[in-house]
Amino acid sequence: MNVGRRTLFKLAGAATAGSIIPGCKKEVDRLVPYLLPDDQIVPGVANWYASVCGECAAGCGILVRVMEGRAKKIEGNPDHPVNHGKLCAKGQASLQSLYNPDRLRHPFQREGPRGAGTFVPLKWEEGLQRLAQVLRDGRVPPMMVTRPVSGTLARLLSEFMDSMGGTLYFYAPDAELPLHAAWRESMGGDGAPVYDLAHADYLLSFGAPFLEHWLSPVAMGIAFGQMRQGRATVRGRYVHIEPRMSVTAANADQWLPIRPGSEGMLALGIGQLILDAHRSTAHGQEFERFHRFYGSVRLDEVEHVTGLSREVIVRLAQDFDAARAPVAIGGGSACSQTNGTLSLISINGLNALAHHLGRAPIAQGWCHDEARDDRSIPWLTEQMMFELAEKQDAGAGPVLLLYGCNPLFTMPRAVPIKTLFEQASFVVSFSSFLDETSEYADLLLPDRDALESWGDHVVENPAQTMGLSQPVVTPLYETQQIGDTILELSRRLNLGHGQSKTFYDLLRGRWKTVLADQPHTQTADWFEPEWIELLQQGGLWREPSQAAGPVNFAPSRAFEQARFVGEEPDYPFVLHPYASMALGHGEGANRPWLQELPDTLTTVVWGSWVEVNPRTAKDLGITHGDVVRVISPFGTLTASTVLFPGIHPDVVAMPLGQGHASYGRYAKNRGVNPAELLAPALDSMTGTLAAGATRVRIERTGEKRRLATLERPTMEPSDLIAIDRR
Amino acid sequence: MADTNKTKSHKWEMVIDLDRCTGCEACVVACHAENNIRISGEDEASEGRAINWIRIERYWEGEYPNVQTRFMPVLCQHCDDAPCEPVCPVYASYHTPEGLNAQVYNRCIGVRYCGNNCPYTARQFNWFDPHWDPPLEEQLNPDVTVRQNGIMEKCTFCVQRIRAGKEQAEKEGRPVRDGDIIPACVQTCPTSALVFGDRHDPESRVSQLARQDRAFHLLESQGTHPAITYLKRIA
Amino acid sequence: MSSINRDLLAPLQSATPAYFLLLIVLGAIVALGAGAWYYQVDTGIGQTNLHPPIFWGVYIASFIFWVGASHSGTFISGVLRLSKAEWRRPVTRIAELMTFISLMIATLFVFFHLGRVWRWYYLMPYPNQRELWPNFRSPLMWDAIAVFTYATASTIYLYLPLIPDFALLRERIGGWRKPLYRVLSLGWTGTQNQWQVLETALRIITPLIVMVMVSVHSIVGWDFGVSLVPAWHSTIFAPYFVVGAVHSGVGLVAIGLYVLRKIYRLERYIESEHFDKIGKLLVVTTLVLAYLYFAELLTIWYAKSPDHMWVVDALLIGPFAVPFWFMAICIYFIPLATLTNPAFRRWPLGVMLVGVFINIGMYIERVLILVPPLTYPRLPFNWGSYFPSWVEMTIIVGSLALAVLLYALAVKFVPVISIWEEKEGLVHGTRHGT
Ligand SMILES: Nc1nc2c(c(=O)[nH]1)N[C@H]1C(S)=C(S)[C@@H](COP(=O)(O)OP(=O)(O)OC[C@H]3O[C@@H](n4cnc5c(=O)[nH]c(N)nc54)[C@H](O)[C@@H]3O)O[C@H]1N2
Ligand SMILES: Nc1nc2c(c(=O)[nH]1)N[C@H]1C(S)=C(S)[C@@H](COP(=O)(O)OP(=O)(O)OC[C@H]3O[C@@H](n4cnc5c(=O)[nH]c(N)nc54)[C@H](O)[C@@H]3O)O[C@H]1N2
Ligand code: SF4
Ligand code: SF4
Ligand code: SF4
Ligand code: SF4
Ligand code: SF4
Repeated sequence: MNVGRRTLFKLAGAATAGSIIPGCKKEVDRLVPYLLPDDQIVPGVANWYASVCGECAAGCGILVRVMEGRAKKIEGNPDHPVNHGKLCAKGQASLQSLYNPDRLRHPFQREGPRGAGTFVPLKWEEGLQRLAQVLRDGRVPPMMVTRPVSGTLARLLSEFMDSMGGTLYFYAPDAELPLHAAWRESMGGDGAPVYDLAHADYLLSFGAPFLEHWLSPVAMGIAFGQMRQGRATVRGRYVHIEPRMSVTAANADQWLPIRPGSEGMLALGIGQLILDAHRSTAHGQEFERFHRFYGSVRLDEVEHVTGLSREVIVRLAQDFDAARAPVAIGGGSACSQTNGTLSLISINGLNALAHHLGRAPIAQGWCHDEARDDRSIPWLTEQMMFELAEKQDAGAGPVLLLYGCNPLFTMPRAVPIKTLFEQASFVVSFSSFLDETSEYADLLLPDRDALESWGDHVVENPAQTMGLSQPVVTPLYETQQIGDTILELSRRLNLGHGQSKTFYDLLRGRWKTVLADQPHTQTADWFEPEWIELLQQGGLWREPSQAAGPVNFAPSRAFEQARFVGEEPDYPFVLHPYASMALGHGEGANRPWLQELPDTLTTVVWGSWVEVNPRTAKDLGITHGDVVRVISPFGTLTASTVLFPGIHPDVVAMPLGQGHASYGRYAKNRGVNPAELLAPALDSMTGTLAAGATRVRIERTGEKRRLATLERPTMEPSDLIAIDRR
Repeated sequence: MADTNKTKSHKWEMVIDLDRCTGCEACVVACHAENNIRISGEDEASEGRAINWIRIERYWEGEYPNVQTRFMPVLCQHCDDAPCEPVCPVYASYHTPEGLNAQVYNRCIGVRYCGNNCPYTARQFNWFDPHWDPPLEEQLNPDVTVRQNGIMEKCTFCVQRIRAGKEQAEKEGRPVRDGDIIPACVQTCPTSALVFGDRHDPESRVSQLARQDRAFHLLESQGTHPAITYLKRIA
Repeated sequence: MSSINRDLLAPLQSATPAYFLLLIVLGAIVALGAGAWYYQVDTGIGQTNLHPPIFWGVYIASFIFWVGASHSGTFISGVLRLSKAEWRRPVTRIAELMTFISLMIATLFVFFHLGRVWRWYYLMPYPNQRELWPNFRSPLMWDAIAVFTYATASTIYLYLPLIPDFALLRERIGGWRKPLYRVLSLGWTGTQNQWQVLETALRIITPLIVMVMVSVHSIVGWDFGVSLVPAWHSTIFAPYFVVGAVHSGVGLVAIGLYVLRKIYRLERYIESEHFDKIGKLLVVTTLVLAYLYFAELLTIWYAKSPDHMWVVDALLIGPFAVPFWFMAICIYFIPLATLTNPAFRRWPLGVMLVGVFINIGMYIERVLILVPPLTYPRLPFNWGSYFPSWVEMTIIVGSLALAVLLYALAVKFVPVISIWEEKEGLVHGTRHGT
């Protein structure tokens, strides 16, 4: 019976995916478990397929347990060099993307005015025809905005846009462009930052949420465990500096609350103290730049701006300097300021300095050997939005193609993103869900879920990883992989991608080229067995190579102070929006497991809240559960108060991720989106949003609403009269 | 079923290193995914009824600016002297020969005494029938029963995986090796804060870790003799 | 003698429109309660407001309350019979009926409480393929056995002294009840031999039922005492539950005596003397209960073990302080302030009102014994809060209505005062005023 089902599934797979699905990793017989064994247990057979997690850019390797054609569980791929068999909460929940009840199941076209969110179903043929026609008729070159992709898809998309004279942009609210910009200037080289925490003995983090969603959180988590308890004699120390205690910060030996935007200033002070301590040795040309950059600040100014005492700063410098393998990392809130890039230069430079002083290189840059097509693709920054909006005329804008991002939700209202959509002559979305952005589209050509798709994923890490993803289930609906859609369009427009019939062929073709350079048997059909083996393994990687130290410390500008929008007397608090660990910037909000995953620090589920220091709350006369208005110069939101002991009294924090007006039943009309409050303040170097640069004030509404929390709120006398506590 | 493991009995235990646990909650989702734990929804969650077989308890210490948090993953401790067992009038809460506190769903009639008597509040109850919006139910693990309204449930140490591991070993005609059996939460935990294994094997990872100086048991004074050993967080 | 027959049979022979109205009103409330229960079974036990860590709520509190209330009959009639107190005669039947009905109501609450009530029979020892028996180590099984024994014993105890009265009714009352009385009177003709057998049976069962009574509420107390829950885990629970049960039970008898005396003009039988005696009894139970309560709180407070202190603080000065002190006024201060005054004790309405306060207070006390300790489990992360839902409250009110309804029906079926015992008293000549 089981065999029958599986064969049926395989045949169905062949018909739709264009190939049978290889890469059945190992076959395990699993028995139906009753607690006490019964003699007649019927064995079911589980197949395991290797693939890549599509939930964030880290590209962890996964194994999917499939029984009778249905994916049952996602687990980490133990052989994968990024995650070694581990997964984060989002990765674990990714099945709820595949089986999400609110997925778009076939193409749609808009009916009624743009943005009204009313659509009628459409056949693929009609949809492709329509889009091809629109692209053919476009008077200005089209514009495509996608989440950052790599590998074959990146190449295909960029070639497609090039051949039409259009532009492909990457957009991701968590891209941390300042991080990469700063890396080049503070560490030199073009690589991506990789922090070898496992070997650090002193970790100084300036706001980097590396255990939540920063760079590669699972890899970082693994390394953090190693840093703490993985070595026989050394337990790495960890100090975290941030206005708010994040989940990551909660793991520090010490959390130091600092004024927002002054992280770089503190790093300057530390750098200067270290240089002072090595006055006798640290000179010569290689130290010249450090002296120039770090010498530009006075310590009392650092004290004043950061709000930290001199003893604390001196101790930080001494500890950093005394460590054998120190590392300073900066990101998250430190990076979302108007001086974000400059702060990160100042923070990262500490690693370069330590390296020059003979410390082990914990911060390393990695560049993938293969040509990376995605490297040259520009990012859509908020600054660019202003420029584009200025250039274009209403209705005469480009055809807008959108994939894998939701800028109408994640960008602040104050950024003219809406204008871009209003001006576009046609908007098409390849999203799998009807989110705020797709709702603005004229045509919906839904992509397949990652678990139904072919693809590859390039990771810049010491193992030079290229992950391979394959469909693990027969596609549930009449959807089409974006790669296939683009190839189809290209054929219709005669753009010259005709040689590959499907994206799968294209992928194989590219991998054949990659593998041709590797040692392989010289038989004629050498590729097929290699390919199957790679699919079974989940990709290609090498023995990690040894790290090189920083190349050069070359800051192009001197440090600047952060600027904030909103006058202090009217708006006394700095708003600290942060990506929710489970929901991210909102992409996780349609997964019920993630909605019900308690926020670790507040234990809130299914909601939004405002975190206020208990002292501040007392001054304002508010308490836990009081509904308050958070007012910025750009908007007003209401949410319940959470008294949060780990936040600077002058700062209030709100998690991002909720407040969807669309995006399915679990996300829609739940909580608020703090992005609506944000000022269009930009990082001075990259032009990306400085999300932490908006000031707000708090007003009481007099209403009280209890949040749903895992930690039950302590019983109050009012509970004895409150009959229905909902 | 012939049991080649009879010669060597097992005692399944877990070690939780609080110095490693980062509160990332990957374990929580993994457990939901593996064990068909219901989605409760906001209304039930607001009534304190959301079901988590493993939860990260968060304790604040001190006052601003010298605040510290402590994360403590709490799941059923599979107590050797489990207070939840004798009180169950129908033997639904039962101790297996391998040291698991098993919950026999079919037996449970929902008197909930066990829930009161568990000092760790590990037990969770199905107040209503579970529901999955289609096609979310496609994900359900066929190895794990879906629990009806009126039934008590809690962490099983992923008993289905223990059985699968033992059967695999039996099929291959070898004893169960350390690391063969990994519960879902342990498997995904990025920092390896969770370690699972056989305490009857003195060389297993879990046995070695449990002998560390940092070891302690939760609510030791209650005399429940938990099968979970915690390792203290340093500083 | 014939006036005894006339007076005491009167309630069985006629019914006023007010009586029928009462039945209709009570029936409607019972129907509401039954509807609420159906709704709860149909949709899920989540219709209660229970949630971890508070797995037990007002259903169990009501169970304890009604088991406690059942102690009225047994205690009054049993202890008084044992001590050959003559004043018991008009009181025993009223009290025994209460026992019987209270136990029926108490049993219902077990079913209201079960998560999967359709599997209730798992609690029964019956031969089955799985060869699984109930777990006799569980205090809940002790409970089930104790309550079953108590229910059986008190049914017999109610029934035995009814036999001569049934025989009388067989002769005096016609209609549909006649065949029923014929069966129930077991062929009683009042021979010397029959009287001797009855006396012997009563002599044997009376001490037994008093022992069962003590054991039943001890076992209910042990449900809590043997657990690990902070502030439940206490040796004082068994005696404390027994005394508490008698306290509320005697209070309930005071209410019953007053109401029946008023409605059926039984002033000749139930005199202020009876209220005086009941009042004295209540002073004793108040003092003993207060002593036990004090002993318990003192030991916890002095030891200051945090797990237990959280609960005590919550009761004395925390979120439960208002109900706690209200309860203390109802069950301690009011009885002591009033019933220690001999003149007050001879005021039937007054004693009845004290009985009402005691029962309101004791109900709150049952809830407070149950809920606050569960609210504060040992890992403070899991502290909770609880207030019953409308379904819970509807079921509780419905079952109270059911109790009154059953009593109202019983009054039309058996004489509320034992006719033969009353006559026996007359023969003994110890009753004054006749
Ligand atoms: N090991 C073991 N073997 C057993 C049993 C057991 O308990 N254990 N039980 C025995 C018993 S009682 C039975 S009845 C048999 C059952 O044996 P089968 O009749 O083989 O049972 P199914 O597995 O239900 O397979 C039926 C097939 O029909 C397909 N199918 C479903 N709907 C339709 C439809 O509408 N049209 C068509 N054409 N196909 C459809 C299903 O996908 C499946 O492939 O197995 C027997 N064999
Ligand atoms: N999910 C799912 N449900 C199904 C089906 C399915 O394919 N999938 N198939 C359906 C079909 S076609 C069928 S026939 C039914 C089968 O459903 P059931 O009849 O419930 O099938 P079994 O579990 O095979 O056997 C019932 C019991 O009989 C006992 N037994 C075995 N031998 C004997 C004996 O000699 N004497 C006695 N007294 N007992 C014995 C076994 O121990 C077992 O407890 O299930 C139906 N339900
Ligand atoms: S970090 Fe988490 S979400 Fe990102 S790829 Fe890895 S498992 Fe997936
Ligand atoms: S932790 Fe609780 S549920 Fe688990 S065995 Fe111990 S007492 Fe029972
Ligand atoms: S809830 Fe179930 S397991 Fe717990 S005591 Fe009652 S019957 Fe036993
Ligand atoms: S051992 Fe299994 S059942 Fe227990 S918490 Fe972990 S995943 Fe859940
Ligand atoms: S997965 Fe591991 S590190 Fe994360 S919360 Fe669970 S136990 Fe802690």
